Amino acid sequence: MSQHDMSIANQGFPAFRADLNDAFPALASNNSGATEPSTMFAHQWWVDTSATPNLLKQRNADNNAWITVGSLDQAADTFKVEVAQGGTGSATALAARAALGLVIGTNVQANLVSGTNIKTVNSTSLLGSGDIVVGLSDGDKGDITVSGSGATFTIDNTVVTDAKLNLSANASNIKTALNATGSAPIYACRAWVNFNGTGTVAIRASGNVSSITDNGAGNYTVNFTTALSSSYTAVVTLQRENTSANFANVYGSYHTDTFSSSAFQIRSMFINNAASGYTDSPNVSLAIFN
Amino acid sequence: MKRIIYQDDEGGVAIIVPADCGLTIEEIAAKDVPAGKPYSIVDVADIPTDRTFRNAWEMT
Repeated sequence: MSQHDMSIANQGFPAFRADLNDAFPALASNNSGATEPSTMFAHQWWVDTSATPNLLKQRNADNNAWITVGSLDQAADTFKVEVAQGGTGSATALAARAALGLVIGTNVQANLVSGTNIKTVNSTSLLGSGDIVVGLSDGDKGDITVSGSGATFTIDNTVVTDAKLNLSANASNIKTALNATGSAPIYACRAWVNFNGTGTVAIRASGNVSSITDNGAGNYTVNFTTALSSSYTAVVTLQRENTSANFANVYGSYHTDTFSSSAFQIRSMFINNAASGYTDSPNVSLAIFN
Repeated sequence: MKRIIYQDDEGGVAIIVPADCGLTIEEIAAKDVPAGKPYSIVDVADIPTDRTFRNAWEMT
């Protein structure tokens, strides 16, 4: 490591030779030293050994500042290119991307603007593992893919509304979340209720049900909070007999012939070898698919 | 607990049992009582629990 003012004074030969022997090592070592050379020139190289890792710098054309070109890791014997991270404009980002040797894939925007389209990017292969933060604005479009075991995708401080969340019908990940296997599509229950139809008629639990109407013995109407998209539905019902004495009866459900998207009428029936009719049930369950 | 009662088309009594759905009893009445039918909101204690002759109930 050495530095020299790169000026050979008018002097005798021994001193002249000694001056040259000081200047050449300075040139050969890129003026390395813990402080900048005493005399500086435009475009001059300097290895700043005061920093760890050492920094390779080049004097700017105006000869009034140093430009850091990269870092020299003397322990690992590696060199890393210094990338301007705070610049703006596609040219800066493209130059930085090219300097890092990033591979442009199909999902990478062609003209990334540092600080605008990309807030922070840390890559496992380049900068070590960590978060990847992508700043997007309403109206931005594109794919965001999170891969790798244990990786999570978080939308920070943002309520994901229907307008911002697009899921394809029959999406396989939705099936996985619902423990559904195979390729058959899944359909959701749109309303359900469990109620006691005897004594003080009362609803035990429900979903999308505003009320039940007790029309009479074994005759109930389930009213939906939000109407269904169609009056033609598939209904699953179950009733339990109202007394142990009726254990031999067959119970079933029955609805009126009038279909409605806002309500469903159900009747609890008993049938045995002696009689049949409507009867209250202490446990009526109903689920509607639509 | 409240119930909504109204006279059905056969002269009997229909009793609406509200669900815990976020609507008020008045909102449920406006939505689930057939249009044009007068109704009353009563306490659940006013509804008989003996349903032996349920189909013979009348409004008084």
